[in-house]
Amino acid sequence: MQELVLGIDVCDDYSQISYYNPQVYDVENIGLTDEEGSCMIPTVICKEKGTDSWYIGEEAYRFALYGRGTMVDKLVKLAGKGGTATIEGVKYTAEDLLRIFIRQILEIPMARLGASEIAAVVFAFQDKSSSLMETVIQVTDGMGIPRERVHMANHSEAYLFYVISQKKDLWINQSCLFDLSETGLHYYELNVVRGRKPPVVEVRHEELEEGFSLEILETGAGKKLGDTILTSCAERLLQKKIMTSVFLTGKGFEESEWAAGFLRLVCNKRRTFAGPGLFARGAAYMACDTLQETSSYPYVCLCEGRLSSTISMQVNHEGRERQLVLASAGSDWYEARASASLILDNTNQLEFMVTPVGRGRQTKLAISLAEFPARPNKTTRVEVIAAFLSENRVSIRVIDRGFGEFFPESGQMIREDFQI
Amino acid sequence: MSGLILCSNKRVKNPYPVDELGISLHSGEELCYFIYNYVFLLEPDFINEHLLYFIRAELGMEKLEEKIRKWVADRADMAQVLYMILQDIHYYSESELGAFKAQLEWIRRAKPSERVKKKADYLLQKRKYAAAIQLYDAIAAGEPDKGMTREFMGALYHNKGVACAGLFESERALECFEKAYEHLEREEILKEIYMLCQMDEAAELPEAMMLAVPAEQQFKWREEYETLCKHLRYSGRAKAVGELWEKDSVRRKAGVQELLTQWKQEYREMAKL
Repeated sequence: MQELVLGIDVCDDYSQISYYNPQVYDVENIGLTDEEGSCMIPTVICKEKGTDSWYIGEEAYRFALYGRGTMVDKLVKLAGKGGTATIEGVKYTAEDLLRIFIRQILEIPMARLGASEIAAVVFAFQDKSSSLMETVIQVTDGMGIPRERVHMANHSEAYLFYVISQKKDLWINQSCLFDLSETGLHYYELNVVRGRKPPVVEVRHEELEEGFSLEILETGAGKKLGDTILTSCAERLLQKKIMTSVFLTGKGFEESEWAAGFLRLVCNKRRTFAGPGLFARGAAYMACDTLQETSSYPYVCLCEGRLSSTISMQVNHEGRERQLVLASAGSDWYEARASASLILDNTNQLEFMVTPVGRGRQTKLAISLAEFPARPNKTTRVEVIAAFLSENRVSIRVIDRGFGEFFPESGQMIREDFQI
Repeated sequence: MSGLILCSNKRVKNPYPVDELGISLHSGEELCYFIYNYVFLLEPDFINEHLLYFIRAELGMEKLEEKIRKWVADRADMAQVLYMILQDIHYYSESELGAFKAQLEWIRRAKPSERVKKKADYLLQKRKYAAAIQLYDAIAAGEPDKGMTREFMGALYHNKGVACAGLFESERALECFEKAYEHLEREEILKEIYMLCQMDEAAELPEAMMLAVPAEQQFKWREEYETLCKHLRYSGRAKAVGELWEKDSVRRKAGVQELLTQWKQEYREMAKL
């Protein structure tokens, strides 16, 4: 039985699923059916009247259309603001609905590909948050998927992994992405920072104010207006840049004939690709990478949601001085967590080095352990646990572990949060 | 030096028991600490199968275990093996290892009586009074060797006296202190005798000995003793007992019970051979 490697992009308008196909050694999109259009699954949920059955996507619309159920849309946004929906007199939280939706969407590739196990899955959201991750974890826990196989990414990360999984000549200089959907117009720019070891690839994200409702594309005048808006954005964003490739994604680019002027501009001396499912594919590439012992991407990946500095400590290990890295620049802040066991040798403070990628200066963070019990030298072992509250806020806990039965632990803990 | 030693997060499943101290070792660092600080307690059979199993299976240091086996097979000195263990675990710095080497060298050169006394002194330090007394007596009753100088015997009687006092055997302690004074003729021993007799009214101050100390000096000692008593009454254990009496009858009873159990346990440890 095949073990699935999945990337699932959950947006407020559409959700998409991508999986690693070992037969073609690449990732592919998958929908409810074999029809091409079915890969974009509307992020809506509908409860059938009088039953406990829930439906998602097109089917949900169908039930709602024929008055056989109550439908709720914009699930991610609703969850973000802690909203609720009342269906047949029962109040459901947005998390409850999102949970049902995610469960059903996870069942699609399992049913269609005949798999019962998931080796790795990365959920991509426009922005990631702890509450979204908790919702996802609740679902995957309920389905018996081990926690270490479930990861989360934002669109910047998914785009970054999508691009660096392509041939290098597509992103040797710069690459960009326009994402046009009902939720807005987003621009992502990927830069390769030269002269660093390991090489640095960074993605900058901007939500453009010029975003417009896709409804305007239903009329000729609206199409023209949309094209003008996009062209002016592209002129501003791409000028004087050596953009090797341009990617277009989102419902707005499902049909791109309406944007002839914009396409003329972006295709000029650049390779341009348009298609749905880019974020889901990027997430699937990330999922594949989580299964490798060491990453297949020898780069420091910097973008929203990733650490821009390395946090380390100077320690003595096996008689030699070395840097102990607690979190590396480019790691996902949500998953970056480390612990170390250290013995204090003629010191009662811990010092952490924060080294930014690039030219920024190294800074030091210190935690005083003066309140721990006084003991002879080298007889206090401390456990250091570093976890991140956001991409630029680290929380460090230090627990007194004593020294075996010679000096029992006091269990005292010191916690300090730092802005990095 | 960074001031931080990185150690393994792994917890051993079966800690290594150290009967001499009544504790168990849970890591390589603790094993080093034990060897370094209690080397005088180590018997020739310290390097045994149980220890080798602990090093291999619990600490995951197969290479070290193989090395020890090889050295033991080559009839290496135990001191060399101990030094190698400390070197391989990297808990001690070069200078600390140097000091340990000097200690091993002293053990190698020391007379049997000196080695046994050192062990007894360690036990005394760890409040294992009965075990220490047993060793002091064994030295005194054993074959005399060149290490048993007047100075050495004086120190031996003195330390035995301290151990006896620890077991509240004032009469025996007094006897030892007197012998120690005979050998060493140091005033601080007279002071200890004076203090002991103040603590235990049953112990008689040897008048002949005290004639050697001016009355002014004895007065100062008494003042010092009284100050010390006052201080002890309002700190440490006496304070804890006092606080117990402030509590209601139920809590007081439970507290007293707990305290007595603790004291009994401590005394049993002190009196254990």
